[in-house]
Amino acid sequence: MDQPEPILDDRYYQIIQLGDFYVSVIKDKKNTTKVIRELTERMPNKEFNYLKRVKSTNNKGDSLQVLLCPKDDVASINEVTLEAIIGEDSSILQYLGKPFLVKVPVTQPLTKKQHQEASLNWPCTFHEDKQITNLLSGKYFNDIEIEKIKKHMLKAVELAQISQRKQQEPIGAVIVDPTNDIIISASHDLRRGDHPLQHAVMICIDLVARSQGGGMWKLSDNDLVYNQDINTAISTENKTGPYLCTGYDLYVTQEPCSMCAMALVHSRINRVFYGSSHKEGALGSFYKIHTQKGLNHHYEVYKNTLSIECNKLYDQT
Amino acid sequence: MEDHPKWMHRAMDLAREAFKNKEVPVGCILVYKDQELAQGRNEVNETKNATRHAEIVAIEKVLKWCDENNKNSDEIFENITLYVTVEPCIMCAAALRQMKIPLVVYGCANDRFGGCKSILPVASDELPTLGPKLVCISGLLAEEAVNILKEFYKGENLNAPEDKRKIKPN
Repeated sequence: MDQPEPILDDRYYQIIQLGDFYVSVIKDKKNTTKVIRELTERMPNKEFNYLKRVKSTNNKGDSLQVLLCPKDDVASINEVTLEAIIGEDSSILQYLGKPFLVKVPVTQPLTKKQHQEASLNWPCTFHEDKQITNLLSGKYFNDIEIEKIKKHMLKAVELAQISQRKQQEPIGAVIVDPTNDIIISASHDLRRGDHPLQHAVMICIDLVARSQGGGMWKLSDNDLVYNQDINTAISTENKTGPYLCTGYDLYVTQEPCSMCAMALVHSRINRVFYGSSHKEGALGSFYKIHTQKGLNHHYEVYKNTLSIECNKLYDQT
Repeated sequence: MEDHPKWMHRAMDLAREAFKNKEVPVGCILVYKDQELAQGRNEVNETKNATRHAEIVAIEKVLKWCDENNKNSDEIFENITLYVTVEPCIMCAAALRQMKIPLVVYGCANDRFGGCKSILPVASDELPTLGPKLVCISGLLAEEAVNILKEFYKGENLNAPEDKRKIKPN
């Protein structure tokens, strides 16, 4: 099985945008410290704090450009001079050349790739997020993890095939507690029956509720299962017991729709692995509900999990 | 159409019922050809299922009613108006499209989960396989809808970590 592919927020994939900034040449590099100190005080450019203040424009490092401010900040000034930008009372005016415009990155680089791209125009600081680097490396999961993921997704595929035989949408879902690898619930789709909202994921969530003594749909079907020992199993170590799908992982053969993706937000799922993408899917294709700004819960999503087997279900081979 | 306020008052009754049952106070009713066909209110805590929002509960009651009365549910839902005290969340907006409910009348905006305009416009985005777009009318009894939510969350810091909250959000 190939590595499941993480689906991160758009800002980790976006192309670095460039914008106009005024810069100036530092006439003699021995004044660099003074220049930086005063500019940092007078125009901190907080929003762009990832941009280094100074750029070396030759190999020897003795030809330096210093960042002044975004073009938009002085848009109201008719004649853009050093005095107008920095202030007439500044003591560093004598050390600097005439201001001119250059293109600099106006989006903060968050990945190594973006950092390389951004640095072509202007040097940027970059604090590497190891988790993000690992996720984007294409080898995030180790062999043991891959085997576990494969095992659970195979179960979901099996349920999708059962669903297909019952003339239902070929979608299967499994919810697992990753701390002990125990299956909490497993389901397949039933939307073509009397209830159009009984998608595999919605059923799987309700079966988790049943494992906790709740639940709404008393579906009796041997293919729809929930772990009946979960309350007692957890109550010894955790006094409060399980709460919704907190800490659980979902394996589902097809990318969830908006309803199911948001149901997983409400249910506090931990991670979602899916096989095939869907053009209106809400976890990467049409929306990214799992990283949606403004929502009070976010979760990790991985696509292309056992994709060959899943794509067969949807004629996407 | 001039009956909108009347039905919204009924939805508000259900929000109050949710409140009394310590559920997030959102209520709704489904109206078919000028008849109140089903009611719903939040049932998240009692079912331990975070998807038991008022709209989903009411939809299920109509499905059951259709089943018991031998009605074609497609025809019923296509002629239903939903009255709900708060803007449907993303999940419910998607559910309403799947049921092909054409018209939604709601009270206040849902700044935390709204699926009509507040967080994501699921109600009106180009999602043909999900179902037809929803027509939404907003602002009816909005103040009352907000007040009952505020009352419910009173003394509750919505920015507090969830495990420290008195009331679990849904």
